[in-house]
Amino acid sequence: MDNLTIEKTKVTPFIHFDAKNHRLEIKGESYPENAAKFYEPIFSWLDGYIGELKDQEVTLELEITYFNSSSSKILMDLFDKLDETTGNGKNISIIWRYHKENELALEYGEEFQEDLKNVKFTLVAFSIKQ
Amino acid sequence: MEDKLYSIQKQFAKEGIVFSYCGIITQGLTEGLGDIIKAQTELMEVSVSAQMTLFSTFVEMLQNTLHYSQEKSQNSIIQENGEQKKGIIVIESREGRFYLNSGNFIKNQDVEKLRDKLSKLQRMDKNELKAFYKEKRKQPREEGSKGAGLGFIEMARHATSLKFNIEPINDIYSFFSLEVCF
Repeated sequence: MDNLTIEKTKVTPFIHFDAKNHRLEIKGESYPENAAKFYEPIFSWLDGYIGELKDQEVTLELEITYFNSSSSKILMDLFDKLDETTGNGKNISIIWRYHKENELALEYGEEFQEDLKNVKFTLVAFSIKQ
Repeated sequence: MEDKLYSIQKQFAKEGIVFSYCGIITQGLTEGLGDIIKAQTELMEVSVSAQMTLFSTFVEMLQNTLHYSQEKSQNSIIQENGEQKKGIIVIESREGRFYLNSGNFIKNQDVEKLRDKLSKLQRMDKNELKAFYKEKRKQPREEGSKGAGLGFIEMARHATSLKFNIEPINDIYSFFSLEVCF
């Protein structure tokens, strides 16, 4: 399976999904006009990737400083998919990174965490602008 | 006779208007104005938290107008659905609070639904809004909706107050204005 890389724009995050090393990264901001359209190839890729997955340890790391309400739904759908996949026996964990002064990002991370049953969802604060 | 722009500037200063825009709303505009807002709030020494809330509310308001405004421009540049959206947005800063105001035309047939939606949100406290937000987020997208249907809930959650007014204009249109304070 090929890697998926989408360059960052002002309103969409950097996406780098490494199928060989099982590290998935989403970093930046997310407020495109049509969030569903932007994330469509990401969901397609994930479906293919999950289909081929065995018991490898997968980590999805997100660092999203801001996302609009439309993106919020997409992220929830994404996490639900991974939650279900974990429930089916795969080994997936999610890391939600946030700047320690960004209370909103922490709050949103906690809200996602509250709604997930199987997948490991960890909140990690950082203090240097990265 | 007083200089026209000086008068306007005085009026703005009196009302605490720190930002205003009236015209065509596009995604590109949202991005450009977003940059301006970010830069301005940094200069104003606003807390990171307030900056994020201001930016977030600002984007939601513009994207709401982008999706739902009914006022069409005469000379449309062809966009996704061949229409341009127009609206007005005003940001005020008074006594340590921000007031974000947005306005746009809507069709009369959409008035009741909008009024019900917002009245419902006005009656909820923070916990109820959070629960409602999470509930709606799990639901499938509403037909005809370009967004996730979460915009107003998102604005209401981080506001100290949310007010709106729907002014009938003619047989087809009303004017919808929204004020979010935090």
